[in-house]
Amino acid sequence: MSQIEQLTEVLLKYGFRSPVSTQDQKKILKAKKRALSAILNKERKKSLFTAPLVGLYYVLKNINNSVTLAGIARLINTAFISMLLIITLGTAFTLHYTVFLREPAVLTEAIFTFTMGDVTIIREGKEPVKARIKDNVTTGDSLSTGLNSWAVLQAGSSLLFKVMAESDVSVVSLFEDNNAQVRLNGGKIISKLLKLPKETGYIIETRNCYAAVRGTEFSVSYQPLETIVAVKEGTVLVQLRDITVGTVLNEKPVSAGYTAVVTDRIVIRKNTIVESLELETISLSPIITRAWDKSSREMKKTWEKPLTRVSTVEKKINAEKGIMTIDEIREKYGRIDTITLYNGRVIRGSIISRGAVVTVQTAGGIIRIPKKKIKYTR
Amino acid sequence: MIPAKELSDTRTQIFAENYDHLYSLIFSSIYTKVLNFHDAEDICQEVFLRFYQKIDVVENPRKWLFGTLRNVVLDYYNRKGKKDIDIENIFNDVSMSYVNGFRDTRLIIEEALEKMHESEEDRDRTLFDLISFYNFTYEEAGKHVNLTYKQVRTRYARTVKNLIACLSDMGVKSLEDLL
Repeated sequence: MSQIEQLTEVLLKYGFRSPVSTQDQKKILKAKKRALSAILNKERKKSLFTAPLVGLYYVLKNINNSVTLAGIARLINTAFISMLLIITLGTAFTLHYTVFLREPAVLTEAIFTFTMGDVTIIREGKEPVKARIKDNVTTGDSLSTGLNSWAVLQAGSSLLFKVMAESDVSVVSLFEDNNAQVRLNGGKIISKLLKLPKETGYIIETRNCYAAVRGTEFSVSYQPLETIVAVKEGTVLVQLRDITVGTVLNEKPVSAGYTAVVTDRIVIRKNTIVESLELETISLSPIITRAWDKSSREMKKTWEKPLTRVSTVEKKINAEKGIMTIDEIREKYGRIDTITLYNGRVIRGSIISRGAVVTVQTAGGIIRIPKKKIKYTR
Repeated sequence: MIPAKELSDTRTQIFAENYDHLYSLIFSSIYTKVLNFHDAEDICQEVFLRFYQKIDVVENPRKWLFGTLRNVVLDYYNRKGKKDIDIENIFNDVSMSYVNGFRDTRLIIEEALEKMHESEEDRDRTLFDLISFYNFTYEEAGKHVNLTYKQVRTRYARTVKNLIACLSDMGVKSLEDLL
């Protein structure tokens, strides 16, 4: 028998031992924590944190014996203040993004954030009206742009589309059924699309093509039976449609830097410089936060800086296309010719070559006129 | 918020330190006398509450707590209508009682325990009492005084050795002689 066992026997024999069951030993430990909370609450201001304070005190006491109640109190206070700060900031951010910056539950309209030149809105059963900044179009509306005119429309906070000059566009849907769809009857649309939620898409439809995306920058141009889809970012799914019944005959994904030319088939090629520059103009166009709450003045202000950059890019496009102003033509060629045709049309520009076909640099680009159609030049 | 500054005063520090070391011992002592866990909890809380209030004038917390424990337990029996209770018997006062007729030997052991307690740290004394008198396991006793199993085992063995030395000084050469 060991000394410890002997001692236990001695203490038992002489009536010193009053065993407490193991179960009660555990209960005493819990009572110890409860009693300390009760005493601290009785002797000091009542606090909701007294119980956690005591609980944490005993947890940490088992790890490090030098912890004190005051130390734990400071720790809890710091944690509480930090938590309060996090909750406050979290609430503020949540409110900011879910209440103050919340989009309308269902988007049913696109807003003109910028217009240039002659842009017309055509609504069913109404007279066509000139579009102005802050005007909107809804499903079923159409719009058309004239020569040297363009407009930028924004739907929600993720879709921006620029309707280029001499284009005719119909709005088929605006996310009512999770998809936004625009029909391009002629001309060109350049789109910028931020990442859309799952099961939401954006489609541009022409007579012979569908271009579908979820987030990218791309342009679609259409002239009878030829659709050109140029992609700057992401991937666009291009589908060839049967022009009579509209069924999909073929489809190809078009990735960044490439263009699909859709006729009776889909041909993929690299973007031209002009296409890349045109796509650049949509990159520079701003998506306006809470556009639906902004005044036209605020929108114009937002466009001030981007417009300067867009104009610079447009100059580059014109240079690539050979488009010059009359003054630029006069400065380059030293004169301006006026050419009158037999059909009565008058063309102003500078003749840059003569022969059976006369080549003229005009403000709209270089044109070639058969000599026999020219009545006289001045 | 918790008034951390208030908790850092000397009174609270002394209270917390003694509470940590002595609560389980005082509780066990009360529990073995009243034999009702909830009553023991109330009485123990009352004892420590009084201790908190009187802490400035208490010189020896251990002695003070055991003395107050006696009074509060007596109050408890009075409230229960057991005024004729033999408090000395309940408290098993060694000098007054004849347990199994071993009065002299009990007095020697009591004296040795007191002598041993004088040379031990508060925590080791509590540890010894919990294990020896109230049959706490090493592991459980460790939890009550914030020590690991190994620390408890070492400290307890040392205290037992010390007690045997004290008994030896008092003429008890071997524990076997007492059995």
